[in-house]
Amino acid sequence: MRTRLNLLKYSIKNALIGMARHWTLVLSCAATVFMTMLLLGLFLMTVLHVNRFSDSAMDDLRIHVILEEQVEDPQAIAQMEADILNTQGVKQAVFSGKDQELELMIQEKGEAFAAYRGEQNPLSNAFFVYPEKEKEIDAVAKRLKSLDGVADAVYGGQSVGEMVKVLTMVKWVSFGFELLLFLLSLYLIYNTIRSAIYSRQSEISIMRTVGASSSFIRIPFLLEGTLIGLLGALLPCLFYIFTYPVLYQAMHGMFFVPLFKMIPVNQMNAWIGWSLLSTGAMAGLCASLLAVSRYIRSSR
Amino acid sequence: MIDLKQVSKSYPKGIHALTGLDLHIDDGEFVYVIGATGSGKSTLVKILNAEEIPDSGSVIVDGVDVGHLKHRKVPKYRRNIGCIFQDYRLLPSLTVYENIAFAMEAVGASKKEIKKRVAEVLELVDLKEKAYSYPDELSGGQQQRVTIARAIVNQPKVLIADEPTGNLDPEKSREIMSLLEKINETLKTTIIMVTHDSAIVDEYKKRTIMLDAGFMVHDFAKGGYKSL
Ligand SMILES: Nc1ncnc2c1ncn2[C@@H]1O[C@H](COP(=O)(O)OP(=O)(O)OP(=O)(O)O)[C@@H](O)[C@H]1O
Ligand SMILES: [Mg+2]
Repeated sequence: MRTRLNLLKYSIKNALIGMARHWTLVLSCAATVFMTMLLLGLFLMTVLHVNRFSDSAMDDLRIHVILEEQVEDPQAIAQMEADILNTQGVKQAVFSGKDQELELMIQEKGEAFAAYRGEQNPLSNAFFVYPEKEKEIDAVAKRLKSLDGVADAVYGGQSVGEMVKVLTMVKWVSFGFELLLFLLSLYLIYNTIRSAIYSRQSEISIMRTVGASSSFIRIPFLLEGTLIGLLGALLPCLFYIFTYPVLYQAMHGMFFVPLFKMIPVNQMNAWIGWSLLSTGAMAGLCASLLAVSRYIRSSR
Repeated sequence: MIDLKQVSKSYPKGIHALTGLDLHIDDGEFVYVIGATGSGKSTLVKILNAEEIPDSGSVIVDGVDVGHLKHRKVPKYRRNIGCIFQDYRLLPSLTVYENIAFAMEAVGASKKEIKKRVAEVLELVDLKEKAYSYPDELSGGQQQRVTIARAIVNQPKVLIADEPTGNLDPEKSREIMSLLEKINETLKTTIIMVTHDSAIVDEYKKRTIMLDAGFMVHDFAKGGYKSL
């Protein structure tokens, strides 16, 4: 037990010594991590936003269900609401009375329709219905249309369906890119750390001739790799944590149109912070583990 | 203590580095291994050090079957074997003190023990004032004395030296030899020393084993090149 504690203490000490005495190697590795994490962070921010925008764009998709004229009394409307909610794929239904419908129409088509206010209102009552899955909006609309008492069920039409498809694709493509970039940065970091350890390969074999166990040799290198990863990720992390709020302020929290709300500062900073730091540390750890294990195995 | 029976080792391309070697060395002996270049001396050292695995035969050192040691078990075995190489093999990024201490750290010794013991061996090899120098700031003889200090710091039962005086002038070689004799006499450490240096072999007479093309051709208890 005591021995183990000592071994751990020495491992940590040796990791620090190793970093101090090979600081040029440490710097070059940390610089690689820095560059890749900077890129990864930028991309992560983009992907998160694309995701959010497409989600919020899809959130707005709703079906306008216009009831038949004779559906007037509260009881009938309540019955209608129940029927709509019972329809497969419906998440939510919001009532919109004929007066409200007229106001919407006036908003949309102009004051000319204001004359119809009151008893003259030719419109029917309606519901705004939200589907469970945006992709199924078309099928849900068809089902609603076939209900008794429903005159029509419309949504943004063909263009909305297309938009949903495009946004879903954009989501997947950007996610794929992010993954690719992630793997690329792992590879880049692995390569720099491996070549750094390569230049210390003779150290590893000397350590073995002195009777150091594999783990005693390995642990300092793993600690070094992890610290280098953290070190390299820290700067990009801070950079984004300080620049994102500025950007957010400058854009008034939205991407040109209110529909595209930006991700709140706190949430974004937490995301960027954790993902960059953990990716950096993991990449450093894995890279040094792979590299050092190879050299330990090759020397007896 | 050390017992080799019918040990053979060949390298790729059909080089027979050692053939049917029988060798017994008792506790506390001091043995030279001599022979022309390529005769298998370093191969013998590497087998004793578990760096190379013999093709056949048995190698027993201090009760350990070295020929069948798993990769994982090598470090523990090596702590009982001190090794000295012609090319020193010191860690360049560590000071003299740290290099010697490293061998003790690897065993998990406490900081206090390390401090005390490293001071002792530095005293023994007469390098106290160089404790905080780096290896590349030392002369060859001084570096060799550091490797000796490192080799004996864990009080091994066996010390193996592959041409420890190979890079040194006669005067420095004598320094190393007296140091090894001192270790052999005071600590009762078994020493196996590979050498090319006939002057040393003649001056400090010990049991001498001669290899030739992988065969043991002489084993003289009295020693000395002249008696061959
Ligand atoms: N790793 C290796 N791979 C292939 N052949 C080797 C290897 N190591 C040694 N040999 C060969 O084995 C033979 C014995 O080599 P060894 O190093 O044991 O000789 P030596 O007696 O130590 O020579 P020297 O006095 O020059 O150090 C030589 O012919 C050498 O070329
Ligand atoms: Mg040799």
